[in-house]
Amino acid sequence: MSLIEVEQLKKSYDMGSEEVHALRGVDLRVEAGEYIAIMGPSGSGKSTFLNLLGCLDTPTSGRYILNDRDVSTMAEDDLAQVRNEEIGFVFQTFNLLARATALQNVELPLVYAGVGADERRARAQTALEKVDLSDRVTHRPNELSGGQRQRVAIARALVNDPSILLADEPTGNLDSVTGAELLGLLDSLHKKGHTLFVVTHERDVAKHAQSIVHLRDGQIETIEQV
Amino acid sequence: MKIRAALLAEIATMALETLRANKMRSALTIVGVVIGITAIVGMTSLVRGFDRSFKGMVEVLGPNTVFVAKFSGLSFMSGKEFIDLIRRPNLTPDDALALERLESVRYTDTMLGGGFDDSRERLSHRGEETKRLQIMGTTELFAQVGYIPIELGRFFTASEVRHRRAVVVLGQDPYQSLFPLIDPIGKQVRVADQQYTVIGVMGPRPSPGGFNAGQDEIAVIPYTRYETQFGVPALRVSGGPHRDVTITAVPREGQRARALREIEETMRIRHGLRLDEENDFDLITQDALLRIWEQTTQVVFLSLVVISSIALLVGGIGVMAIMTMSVTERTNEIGLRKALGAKRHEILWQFLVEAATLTLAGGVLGVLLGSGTGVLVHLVSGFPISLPWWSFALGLGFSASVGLVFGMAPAIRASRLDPIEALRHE
Ligand SMILES: Nc1ncnc2c1ncn2[C@@H]1O[C@H](COP(=O)(O)OP(=O)(O)O)[C@@H](O)[C@H]1O
Ligand SMILES: [Mg+2]
Repeated sequence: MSLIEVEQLKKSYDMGSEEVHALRGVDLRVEAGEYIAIMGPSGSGKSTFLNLLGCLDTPTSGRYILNDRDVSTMAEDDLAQVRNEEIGFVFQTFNLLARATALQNVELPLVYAGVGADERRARAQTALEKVDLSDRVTHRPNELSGGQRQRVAIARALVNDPSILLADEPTGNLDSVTGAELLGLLDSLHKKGHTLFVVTHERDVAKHAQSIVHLRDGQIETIEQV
Repeated sequence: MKIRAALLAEIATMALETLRANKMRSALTIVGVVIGITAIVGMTSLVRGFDRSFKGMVEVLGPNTVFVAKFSGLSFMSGKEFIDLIRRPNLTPDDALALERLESVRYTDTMLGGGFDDSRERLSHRGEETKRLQIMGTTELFAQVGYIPIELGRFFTASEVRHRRAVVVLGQDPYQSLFPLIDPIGKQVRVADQQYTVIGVMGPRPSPGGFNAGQDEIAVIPYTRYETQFGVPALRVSGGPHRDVTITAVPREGQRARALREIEETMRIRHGLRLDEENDFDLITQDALLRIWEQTTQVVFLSLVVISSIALLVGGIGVMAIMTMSVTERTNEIGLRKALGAKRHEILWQFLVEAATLTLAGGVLGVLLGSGTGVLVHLVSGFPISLPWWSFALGLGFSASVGLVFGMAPAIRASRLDPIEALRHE
């Protein structure tokens, strides 16, 4: 079995008068440890696809098997649990809690996993070490640079030891130097065996992946091996 | 609906942090709750404290004793006008004699100058002078009827009353100021301008509310003597001369109801009242006092409930507003928490706990302010207070409930947000 099996995945939005087809039947198999970039013009369905992969949304039709479980028909709270256990998100805008320290931000997924305070702290600490931020644990987001914030977000995505890591335009809000550092970090995570999905419209970013999925108009146009 | 301990602790700290971050807004929001809880706790402490000591005092009167007065607190509480009350006929010592002749009445006591009265006099002994005291003229039964203990010496006798003897029984206040170190019995004191012999000292008397209402600032002399020295004092009040006479009647064993009826009839006949006319005197008994008191406290409690409900309602609406704002402001955070694995009920509880923490903070403040007010009143005036634990529990419970109830709608809204749309917010 593959880690991810997507069959004829469709997503459409009922906009009253017309129906918007964001995804028109996507098939994809991904093995554990793969590094995949998703590219395509604006409106081609990249975010929709990533949201479905991240179990933030359910498809209109089609099947999505993640780690041997059919998550395409799950109820909201079950999806929440799958997200908590299997998925790590890295957002373009970092989405850190402004009032919380780096450590507390990283602890958050463990809170919802019901992990006790001591273990939570230890694991968050380890995750921050992995992204080279062990000296910034008590800093709040406004005391960190953009690159550091994105690394906190990555630590938070890793702390639950998820099956897949999803990043939507992770370098979009970073300058080119820190962007390059971040891509280096993603590369190293890939080398350590993590499964990565990165949505981007920059070819230079996509080239870090093993394969690039090109979307157009809600369908896979080509899968390019790098 | 199970909530994880780790999450609850996290939620509580987050809630406190949110409140700290929005101090001004939070403070304004909980004003209503603070007022409501302060009212509950503060008023409960005062009313309950007064209630206890009032009942203590009334119980001392004895369950059977009937007081007859021109008017009393009872007539005020039943809404009669002072101007009408003062026009009622004055009672006289002869009324007491007439009541004493009744089959059902064991004995009566007449009290002159006991109540509504401004003819206070000084006592002096060897150049020492007291402040102005209430001088009362009574029969030999005064102490017995009022259950007043005699601490030293004795009360005067029927014979001393009949012979208008110049004897005086001191209350605690003149006793302590004139004879702090020596035995007062047999000593001479001057009451206004006449010499009296001290024959006894009364023990401390209970008072409504237990605070010092001057209930021990008295001296008692035979009422016959009182009439000679002062006359029955007529007080000029708009409406007519007012004489202060109270008659105490003690019924025979088991004849209380009959005594009440006969006393009422006798007084009506003596005052020449027609059948359709109301009593122009007050009959005061222990249970009448207690009944009136109960009604009064009920009204106080009812208005307390109304006032604090309004305050809590205002507070609740404030909480609903601030929580709705909070949910809107933190839509993105809600989306993030959901993306990281928060379930619906976990988001729901987060906002409920936050709202309840907010109002509970108001409740704690209200309990402190309310009991502080009670204690302050007690320290300043000696007014008795009671701080029952249940009024604290009630205050805290109410305040937390206000948060839970009024935070419910915004919390439900937060828990139902779509994670993707919430994340896209801002
Ligand atoms: N919530 C939604 N309601 C209606 N239409 C949507 C919604 N989300 C996405 N779409 C539409 O679906 C299509 C794909 O959107 P999206 O996945 O965001 O594209 P991309 O990320 O590649 O720019 C677009 O036409 C977009 O307008
Ligand atoms: Mg997009």
